[in-house]
This record gives sequence, structure tokens and C-alpha cells, in this order.
Amino acid sequence: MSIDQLKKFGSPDFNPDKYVKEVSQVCVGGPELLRHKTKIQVFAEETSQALKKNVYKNYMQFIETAREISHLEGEMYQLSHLLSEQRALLTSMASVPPPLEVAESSGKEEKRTDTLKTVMEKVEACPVLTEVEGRDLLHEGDLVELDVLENTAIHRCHAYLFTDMVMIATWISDRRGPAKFKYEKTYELGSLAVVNVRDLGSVKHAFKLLVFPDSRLFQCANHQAREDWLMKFEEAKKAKVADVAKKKVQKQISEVEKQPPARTDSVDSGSNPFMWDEDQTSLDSKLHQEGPDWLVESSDDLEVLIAQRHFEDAYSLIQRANSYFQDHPIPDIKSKVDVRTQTLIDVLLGELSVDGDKSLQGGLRATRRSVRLLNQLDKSALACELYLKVCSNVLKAQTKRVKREGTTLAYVKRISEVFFSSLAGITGEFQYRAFPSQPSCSSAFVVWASMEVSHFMSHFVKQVFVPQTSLNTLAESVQIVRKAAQQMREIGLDLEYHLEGHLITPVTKALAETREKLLDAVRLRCAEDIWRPAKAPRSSLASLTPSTEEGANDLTLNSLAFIKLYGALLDDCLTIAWPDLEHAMAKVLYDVFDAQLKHIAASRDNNKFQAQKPLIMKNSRYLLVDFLGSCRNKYKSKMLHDCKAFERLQRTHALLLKDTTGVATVIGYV
Amino acid sequence: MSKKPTPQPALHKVIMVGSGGVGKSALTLQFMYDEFVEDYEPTKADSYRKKVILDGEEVQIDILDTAGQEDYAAIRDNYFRSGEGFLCVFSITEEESFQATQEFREQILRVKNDENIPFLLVGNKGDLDEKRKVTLNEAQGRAQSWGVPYVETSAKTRDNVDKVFFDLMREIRSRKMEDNKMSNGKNKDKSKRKKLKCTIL
Ligand SMILES: Nc1nc2c(ncn2[C@@H]2O[C@H](COP(=O)(O)OP(=O)(O)OP(=O)(O)O)[C@@H](O)[C@H]2O)c(=O)[nH]1
Ligand SMILES: [Mg+2]
Repeated sequence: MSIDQLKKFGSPDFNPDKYVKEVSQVCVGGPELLRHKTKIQVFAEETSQALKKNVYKNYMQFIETAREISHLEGEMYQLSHLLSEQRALLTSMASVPPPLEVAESSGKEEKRTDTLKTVMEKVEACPVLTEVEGRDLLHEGDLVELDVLENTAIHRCHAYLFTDMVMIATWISDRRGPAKFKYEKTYELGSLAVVNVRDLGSVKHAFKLLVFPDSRLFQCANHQAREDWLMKFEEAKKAKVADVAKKKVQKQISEVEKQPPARTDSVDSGSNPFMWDEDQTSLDSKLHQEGPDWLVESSDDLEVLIAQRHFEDAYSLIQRANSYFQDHPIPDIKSKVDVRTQTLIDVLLGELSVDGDKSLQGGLRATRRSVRLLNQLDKSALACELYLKVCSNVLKAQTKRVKREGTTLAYVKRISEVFFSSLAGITGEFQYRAFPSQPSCSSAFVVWASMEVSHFMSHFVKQVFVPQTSLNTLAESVQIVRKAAQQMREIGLDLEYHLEGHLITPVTKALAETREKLLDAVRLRCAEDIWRPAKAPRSSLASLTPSTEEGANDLTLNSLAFIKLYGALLDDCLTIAWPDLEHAMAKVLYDVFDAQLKHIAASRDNNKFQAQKPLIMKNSRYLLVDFLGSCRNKYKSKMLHDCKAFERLQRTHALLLKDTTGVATVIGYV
Repeated sequence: MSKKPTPQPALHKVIMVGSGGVGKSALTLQFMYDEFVEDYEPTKADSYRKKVILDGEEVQIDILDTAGQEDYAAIRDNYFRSGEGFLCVFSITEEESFQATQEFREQILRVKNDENIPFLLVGNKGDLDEKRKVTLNEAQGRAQSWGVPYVETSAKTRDNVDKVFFDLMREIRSRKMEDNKMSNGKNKDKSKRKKLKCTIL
């Protein structure tokens, strides 16, 4: 059909009635009309073919896209997991650790004072740094101070940033001994403004400290050093502001608490608004006494409850105490409760942690209690991490129980079933019981699951892909594991991608090996081919070529053997097949068939087989048209598109067919 | 002006104040480099310096571009103290930023303790007239009540950008000259330094 007509039919204002009228006017007589009808019928067929092709193409694109998406989804999960890990790390870094008992914190405390002492040694005439409680060194570094007006260097100096202030010390150039710097000045953080100097003529990497009425200009060695300083300043100031705000609230509260008619021992302290700062300990003990009895005893009670493993009760007591603190903070008791809370968390985490000697009898069910409480205590991330370790152990234990006995196939079947059904069970438990609706935990889970699948698959590959295993066994094994993984997909975890990722290398290798093996087999048989028709047991053929019966006569033994061999190869390939594998598959499928056809071509040109020429042609026709056609169809119905290898075979060996027809004609005349 | 002999020309310290996103940085960068920056990257505290010719005399302008988004306003005091003049910027497309100028004004007066500190009320994003939320009248009214000039600018089209910086520098300069006279005359009473101001458009 011409393009013109195509356009005509395709145009939006095409009117069939009008078209028919036109045609009937133009056509003279019945035959012409009939001819026109067949033309249009052909056209309709072509169109529907094209449509099918298009649908198929879109379908392939759809599949491709879906695969991309599932890949992307995996990556997103990975990313989300990384992010939540990072966040957990950051919050753990940022969160002020609960006040620990003296014994635990003394190490840190020692380090802090040590640092301060070192600074004092280094700086001549340094004020005593250790007398302010909690002061710590946050950052230090060499700087060059510049004249604010003229931008010229004044001197080298060293600056120390503490939690509450900045200390500037100048460099002592010609001095030996411990002191390297000379104390110059300190500035309270609260009275300090830091300015990033973006543009100051030729001065680079500088920042300013505005401390009214001073304005001081410092130059760093490089860009990064300045960024560091600016960042540290910002952090320090934020922390300081937060700290001040906290103190303020505490102070207000303590004043409120002082309002009610004071007891005899607190009369004078109640009237002194500076009391809180000046005499913290006495005030604290006073507040301490103000808590209700249950609160005062809560710390001891908690200890007992935890020891007796009444974790739920411990948790509700902590809740009760914390909600009390919200309205009446009593720092002293609160810190004790915090310590106990930490103990509870530690004990619960301990319950979850996997020790070699701990039995897994209870499986995941045994962890439910701890996980629930940890979630309530806002420790989901930690709990999740440990929980997944337990899951790993459960999986390991269950797969270990599967003994390596019997055939590979039987083993693979059992272990795949066990692994994936355990995994499915764990998934359910995780999603619905342990950590429902916690996205960051879900992503950790997905990452965990893909890791476990990786482990499993490398075990699988090791077991299955041993040299000399037939492609058939491999194909069935792959099918088994795929099917087992299918149930995961049903509960929302698509693992196909992972499986294929693990299989592609060994399968490709196995296909290459199979190719060598089959090529050898084909060549061997061909070398012995004497071109005599077999008295074919037709039944074996029927299964391979159900549609084309005629022509199957006169097949030689060699051809029959090849059909069997190739049919099996194709079946195995198609059992394993997935799109990424097609290239490797095409190679085997092409080369093996090609070897056989080359043999036929060579025989045809061989004078030795002059007499058998018609037989040769029949065989070649059968293989190239009927058998290859049925292979094509089979491939297409599984993979939904044509196999490049088959198309190429038909193209490359088209000559074999041509000759056949030629000879056939000759034979016909004879 | 300075008692210390210095080869450097006079230095005028200008501070950009105003809510986040009103265009303080955009104005500064347009003034400094003749560039308009489309991207919004909140500022912390940046300083810039440039030599300019103010009425035939070479001077230096030091611009401190502050954060509109400062979480804790208390810390602003430390920045404001160092300023000799202020460009108090709002966006004519955002009512809230206009309301916020009131707080900035009060904070500056408190920190500087000076009713007559050189100060311009700046309505930025004048190019977005179709999105205007703050009328000219409103803004002028407020400026008048404060006794400061009101100018509308656009950091995008560079409208009035030079003007606001130069006008402010002139005010700073005349303030400094006045101060000098006063300190020579040992008269430190600030309240007597009322000056006539007109609204410039
Ligand atoms: N159309 C238009 N957009 C502007 C103008 N001035 C600034 N902008 C845009 O407004 C956004 C914010 O501008 P900035 O200058 O970064 O705002 P800022 O006041 O410095 O904000 P902070 O640093 O957070 O205090 C940017 O995307 C600018 O491109 C203007 O005059 N016209
Ligand atoms: Mg900015």
C-alpha cells in the first residue's frame, strides 16, 4: 500500500462511506473491486502487524522502565539508610549525654582539665582557665592580626575558642621553654560578633571580631581554616545561647518554686534572687526535698524494677517522672532518673544483642518486648540495628539446618525455600510488629535484606555453579530460587534485581562453557555424518516441531540428534533467561546452530555427497525453516520479541535455501 | 577625622539590616560588583569594603551584611554597635518584612542610643511592582514618623542602589563632622542635634 493511502486512512477527517463511494465510482466491474478489496485486506493485516509491533515495543519499554525504577528504588533506600545513619550519628554527637555518675565521667572531666592546663602552660600570663565549670576548648589556631584601617599585618597570634569565650595570645618569637604565646585578651562569647570578610581589597581568608568598641581583624592561613573558624564560632555561640536559655528557664522555675511559704531553712534564700547562681547546692537540696515521695524514691525504685526485669513498670515510672519534670524540673532527681533510663536502655539493648552463647530458641518473638520498649524510649534506630543482627542470626541458624545431601537440585530447593520463607517471616515481623511505620527503620531493613540476599546468593552460586554441572540443572536451580524469591515480591520486596545481579556472571560463564561443549559435540557428530536418512522414531520429533510434520521425513540421524540437543539448549536458556542475559544467550544459540549449518553447507559442496544432495537440501530446509521457525516462536513467546541470533542465522545461511529450491525444481523435472 | 594619622581615606561603616530574603545581600553585591544574584543563600555576617568617590572625595565604605534570619536577635546587638549608619531594608512584596523594620529600628536606637543615627528606610524589589503589598504611602508614613528618608530600590535593575549607599554615606559624613565640632566645643548633648530631613523618592 502506498504511503499516500496510508496518510489518507490515518487522517482525522477520513470518512469510510465517502471512501467506499469514491472507490466504487473509480472501479469498473467486479474483478477490479475484488482486487481493491484484497489490497485493503493486505493493508489491514500490515497495519495490525505494525500495531502489534508497536504495542510490543511499548511493552518492552515499559518493562525496561520498571526495572530501572526498581533499581532506583533500591538506591533510594540505600541513600535513605545512609542518611538516617548519619543523622543518628549526628544526634548522638549533638545530644548532651545524660549526667553520668562521677566514676564514668571523670575520665572526660580529666581530659577537659588537662587540655585547659596545657593551654595555660603554653600561654604566658594566662588567666586560670579551670575555674569556670564546664569550660572546654573547642578550637584553636594560628592567625595573623591585621590593622583594621590599613589592612597591614600587626602580629602573629594564636586564638583559643572556649565554650564561653575567646582568648587571643600573641606569638613569642624568640623564646625557649614551654610558653610559646603571651596572653593578650579574652572576650566573652556573648558580647562578640563574628564577621566573614568577603572583600577587603587584597586581604584574603580574613574574619573580624566585633567586640564593642574593638573591632579586630584576623587572617587565616587558607580558605579552609577560615571556614573552620567561622563554623566553630557559630556552633559555640549556638550552644551558648541554648545554654543560657536553659539556665534562664531553670532560674525562673526555681524562683517560682520559691514562692510558696518557705520552710524555715529557706527563708533567706527565698528572698535572694541571685541565690540560684551563688549557692546552687543548697538550693538543689532544697528542691530535692520538694519532690513528692514517689519521685524522690524513683531512682531507687527504678534500680530494683530493672534488676527484677519489670521493664514495663520501669518504663511507666520513667514516664511519670518525666512528665512531672515538665512542670517542675528538679535537676537533681532528673539527672538520677536519666541515669536509670540509660541503664534501662542498656539492659534492653543487651537483651537484643547477639551473643554466641545465647540461644535463639525464642527467635524474633523473644525480642518483641525489648523492641517495643526501646521504641517507646525513642531508641528505635539502635534497636533496629540490633534487631537486624538478631534477624541475621535467625536466618543463619535456619539455613544451617538444611543439610547438604541428595542432589544439587533437591538441596537448592530446600535451602531456597527455607531462606526465603524465613526472610518473608522476618519481613512481616519487622514491618508489622517490631517497627511499624518507621521509614528510617524500613530503609535499614531493605538494605539489610539485600545484604542477606547477597550472602545467600553467593552461597547458592557456590553450591550450584560447580564445573561440569549441566545447563539443565543450572536452569532448574535458577528457576527454583526465582520462584522462592517470588513470595518476597508478593509482600512488597522486589528482589529479582538482586538475584539477577548475582547470577549474571556465573550464568554467562556457564553459557560460554556450554557453548564449547555443544560445539564439540556438534562437530564430532558432523565429522562422522554419512548422510543417510534415519528411520526416524517420529514421536521424538513431534514434541519439538508440533506444527510441521511434513518435511520431517528424510532427516538424518545427525539432524535428529542436533534437533534434540538444540531444543534442550533453547529450553534451558529460556528457563534462565532475563533481558540482561540475552546477549550471552544469543551467542550460544547462534554459534551452535551455525556450526550445524556450516556442516550442511560444506557437505553440499562436497563431491563425495553428490548423490545425497537432495537429502542434504531437505535436511537443511527443515533445519533452517521449520525447526528454526519453531525455535523462533518459542523464543518469542517467552521473551516477547525476536531473537537476533535466529534472524542472523536465517540471513547468513539464506543461500542454503536458494539452492534447495533450485535443486528441487531440477528433481521435479527428473 | 581620625586622630591617628593614616594614609587611608575616611571609612564609613554601613550596616544592612532587615528580615531574611528582602535583598540585603543582593543590594550589597549589586553595589559592590554590579551583579544581581538570583539565588538566595541566607547570610550569616559578611563584610565588604570598597573605595568610592563621594562628592569628589575618596572615601571607603565598609558594608556589614547581616543575617535577616538570625535565630537569636540578642546577638544582633554586637553587630549593630559597630555601625555608623544603617540601611533598613524590607521588600515591598512582603508585608511582614515591612512590619519587621519597626523592630529593627527600635533595636538600633536602643543599641546606638541615638535618635539621629544615620538611617534610611529602603523598600527593595521595586521591580516587582505588580506584587506590591506595601504601599508607597504606608512606607513614607513610617519613614516620616521616624524622621528618616524613604527610598525604593531594585537590586535587580540597579534602581537607586548607588543612591541609598551614597545618601547614607553623606549622612554619616555630616554626622561625623558635626560630632567633631561638638567634641571640640565639648558639647555632647545629642538631643540638640535634630536635623531637618526630607523624604527622598
Ligand atoms: N526581583 C527581585 N528579586 C530580588 C531583589 N533583591 C533580591 N532579590 C531576590 O530575593 C532573594 C533574597 O535576596 P538576598 O539578597 O539573598 O536576601 P537577604 O536579605 O540577604 O537575606 P538574608 O541573608 O537571609 O538576610 C534572592 O533570590 C534575590 O535574587 C530585587 O530587587 N528584585
Ligand atoms: Mg543575605
